[in-house]
Amino acid sequence: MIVDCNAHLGHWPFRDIANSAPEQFIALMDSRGITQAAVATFQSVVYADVHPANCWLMEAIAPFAERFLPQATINPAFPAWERDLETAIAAGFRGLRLYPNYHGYELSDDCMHDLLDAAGENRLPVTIHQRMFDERRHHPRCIVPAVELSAIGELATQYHDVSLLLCNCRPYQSEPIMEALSACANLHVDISVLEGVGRLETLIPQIGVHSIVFGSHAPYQYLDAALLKLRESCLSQTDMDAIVYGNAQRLFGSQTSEPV
Amino acid sequence: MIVDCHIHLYGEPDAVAASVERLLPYADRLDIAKLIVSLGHALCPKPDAARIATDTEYVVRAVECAPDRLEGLVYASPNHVDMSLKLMERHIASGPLKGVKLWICRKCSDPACDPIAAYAGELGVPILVHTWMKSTGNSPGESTSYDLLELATRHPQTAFVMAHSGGDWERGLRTVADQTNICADICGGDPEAGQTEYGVQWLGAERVLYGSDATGRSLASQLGKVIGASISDEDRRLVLGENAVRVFGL
Repeated sequence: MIVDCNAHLGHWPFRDIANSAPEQFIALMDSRGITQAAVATFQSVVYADVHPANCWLMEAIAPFAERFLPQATINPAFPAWERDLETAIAAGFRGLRLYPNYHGYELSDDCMHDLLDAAGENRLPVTIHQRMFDERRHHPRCIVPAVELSAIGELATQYHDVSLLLCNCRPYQSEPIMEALSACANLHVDISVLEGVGRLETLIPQIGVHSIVFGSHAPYQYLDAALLKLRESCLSQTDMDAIVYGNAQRLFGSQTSEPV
Repeated sequence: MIVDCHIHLYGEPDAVAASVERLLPYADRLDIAKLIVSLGHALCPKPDAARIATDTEYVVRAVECAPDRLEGLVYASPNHVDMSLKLMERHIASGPLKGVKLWICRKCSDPACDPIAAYAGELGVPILVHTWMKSTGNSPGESTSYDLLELATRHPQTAFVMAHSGGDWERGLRTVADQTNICADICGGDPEAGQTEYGVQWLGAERVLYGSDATGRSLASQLGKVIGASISDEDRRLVLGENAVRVFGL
């Protein structure tokens, strides 16, 4: 059983992405033994008004509802975002996705606090994407710097009742992020962009296995890249189980009973 | 057989055996049979003549630690042509190394690279050339796929491997598509889906090689680019190792 905590569906504006339609992504998940995936939409990353993208997602995944953990993209710097949140909760979204660099706010901004207050009240986990892809590969007229994460420890401490997940993040490149992951039980990181030989097995004793979840960033990235990291590192079965589904179940309240 | 054509070992200069010993169990877990090592114990972008010699000797010592698993390349520099040619003679013509590495001290289109390229052609060994085209800006001596195309056009008898598929892999692979003495390795960027398929589409499967850029990168994240690619099993075998065996004469 594997829960992929970092996936997208839909349309990415900068290049063609295979397997980004729900039925294609389900086929990819089946071929690789992925039980469930937390998904948001590519288009919500660049839309000013993210609401239509959330609506599209719910409709698109309806035939496969038990396989997806839908994540509503929220832009707390956009007017009346609270209504988007209300609609998302009513529609059954299981968590919130944030892209602060594309949507133009900082983690330390007031709107971030407002959003985390709301997430706590509604018991929704919040996923923050530090980047969508390598800045060196960005469109030359659309270079979007990565999210500055130095405030994450303070936020995770202040909002200790909100589960937080950092995606597309290399925590070992920043001592404050490593300290926050180690100290805050509600803060997690996915493995999608971990690099270095055997990085996963060295990261476990540094921040604790409870902080690490399986995330592939598929279909933007090859799903197999994340899966092979589980093989490259020497992991105990207990650690493996925690990474591939245990921590995700705690994070998203996912309770799939029939492993694929 | 899986061959990783792009590896760097990091560690203390006198502890090469320890670095090799650390690496191989990870390669074993991923069924990587051979790894081709280049540069030295630490990255040195603008080495002097002595440094390319000591870095190349480091690679030779690494190969000697595990001759059935590791192969190596001479670190050549267009800033130190005489020493580069001497190292190629000593370690390729009369030694165990299988090719040449050009990194970022000067663009590979510079005529100063010509003696190195010509001698590699005489020896029948390939040159692995770092290439990137960064939206955020290249470093002054960093080659792009266009630079490599210039060099390879001047030296049609020499085989080249375009490292990182040019970084901006859509542009890089298209740039060299018609220059058949250039292959491309897929290593060194995040595992963006579609890269390997794009290489096979534009260069043909026989001109695309698996490499990781470990130990800075993960062996696994880069291998995932090939294992996860929608290509035929025959093409996958070529990319995983058969091409490297042919190109590097393993």
